[in-house]
Amino acid sequence: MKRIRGIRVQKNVRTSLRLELKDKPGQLLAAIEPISRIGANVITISHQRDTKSQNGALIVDIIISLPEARLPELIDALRKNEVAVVRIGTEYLTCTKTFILIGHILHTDLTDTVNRIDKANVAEVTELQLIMPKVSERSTAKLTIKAVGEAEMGNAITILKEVSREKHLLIIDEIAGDL
Amino acid sequence: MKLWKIALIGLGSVGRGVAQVLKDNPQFIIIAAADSKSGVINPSGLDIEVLLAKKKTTGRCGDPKLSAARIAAEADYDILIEVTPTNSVTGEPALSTIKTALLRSKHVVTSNKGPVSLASAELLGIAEEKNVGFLFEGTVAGAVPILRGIKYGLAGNKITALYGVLNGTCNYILTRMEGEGLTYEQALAEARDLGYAEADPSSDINGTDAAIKLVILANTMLGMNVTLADVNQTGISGLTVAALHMANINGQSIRLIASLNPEKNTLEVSPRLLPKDNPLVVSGTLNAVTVETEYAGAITFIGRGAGSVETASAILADLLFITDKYDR
Repeated sequence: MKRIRGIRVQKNVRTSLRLELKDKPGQLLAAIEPISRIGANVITISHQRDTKSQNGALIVDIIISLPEARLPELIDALRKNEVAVVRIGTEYLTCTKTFILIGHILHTDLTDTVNRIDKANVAEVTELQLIMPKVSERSTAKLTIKAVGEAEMGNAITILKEVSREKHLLIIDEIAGDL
Repeated sequence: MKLWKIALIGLGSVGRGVAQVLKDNPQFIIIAAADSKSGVINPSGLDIEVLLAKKKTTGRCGDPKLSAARIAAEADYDILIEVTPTNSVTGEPALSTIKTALLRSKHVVTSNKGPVSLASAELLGIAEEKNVGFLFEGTVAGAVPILRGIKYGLAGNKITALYGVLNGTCNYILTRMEGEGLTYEQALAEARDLGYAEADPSSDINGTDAAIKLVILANTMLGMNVTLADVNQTGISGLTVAALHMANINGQSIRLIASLNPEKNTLEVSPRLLPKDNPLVVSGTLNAVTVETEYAGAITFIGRGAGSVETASAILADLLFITDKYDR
């Protein structure tokens, strides 16, 4: 947790919750109301009436974004409303992009390439696959970067492009946007 | 019905396609023609078949003293069709030929990328001043009506981004590397054998051809003011089979994508990763352009980007636009 001018700043964390509701009117509201009250941002709700848990409860999957420290408070509030929280998943690095690199990837210090992109809990290289045909030939790598948000991903890409230029690596990136 | 007199400059593959397409259209009569070495004028109409046969045996279609420049300056035509090969550095000699015609208040239709990418603002300015048409649908994506599609079909829509597969040679090579596991060199050799790549394919392979088309789109359709030097350009010669294989496992394809963003003023041609089901992932020599618009969302145009009759199709559409809009 950072402190800026004495104010505690908390980064929002994306959290997925699986809730079980009793199959009776007003239950969805009982689940939504505490989330709204606590100021969490709802990313998506999926509520399928035809899939029920073994005990006959309705399953609602919900993804919210809120300061991590407020999560226990939310869980308590949901339980008070008789909403069962059966699964909690927290993922910090929600923005994912894949790149392909071509060049002398290993011989230009792969560890350095990865280290320069990695910023703990902000942007990380989470997957690397390398194909090396012959020692003298160029190798090809698939690299996955995960980041907490678009801005952090943007910074990571800037660094990756810098490193690629320096090490004469061809970089192929994904087309962004909602094409 | 008015008879429109045509001067046809350039008797290569596109010129032949134009002659073929115009032969069946009673609205047009070709009264002058020129190749790189000679020219011929006949006010009552030329038989292009005869000219092409003559060119084949003698290497010339007509009189060596009658150059394209003289035809543009002296012949009594209504529309000049300029379909000589592209010179992306100076645009010449096509640039001068086109300018001469426009200054004489003649309509001009071209598929030559050089003059349009280098001097579209100046040429369109002259055309407007002289109240004549200067149209060049065939310069970008061949038979695909991308320029008219943007200008008229999507009129009023702000374009926020544009992505295109604008080079059929590169797309063919990537399709073959992806589908058959051919190396870049093998796929290029195959493209040459099939006539999809020129003897010197460097301007296709290094992205220059796509970049020139992107400049034309940017300057004439998106109100930008850019040159070839403004395009951040990477070709496909460095791609490995492994790269296409890795993309494939991930449900993706690699295509040479020309992209621009008018707000950020960025232009780029480079190999990019796209989901396989993206409409831009076309096969073989096809071209595709996706335009992201304010109201219509994303719209994709797909079709044949090169070829003799295909390019002639774009030229014919330009000619009919002129006959529809102007009285003479």
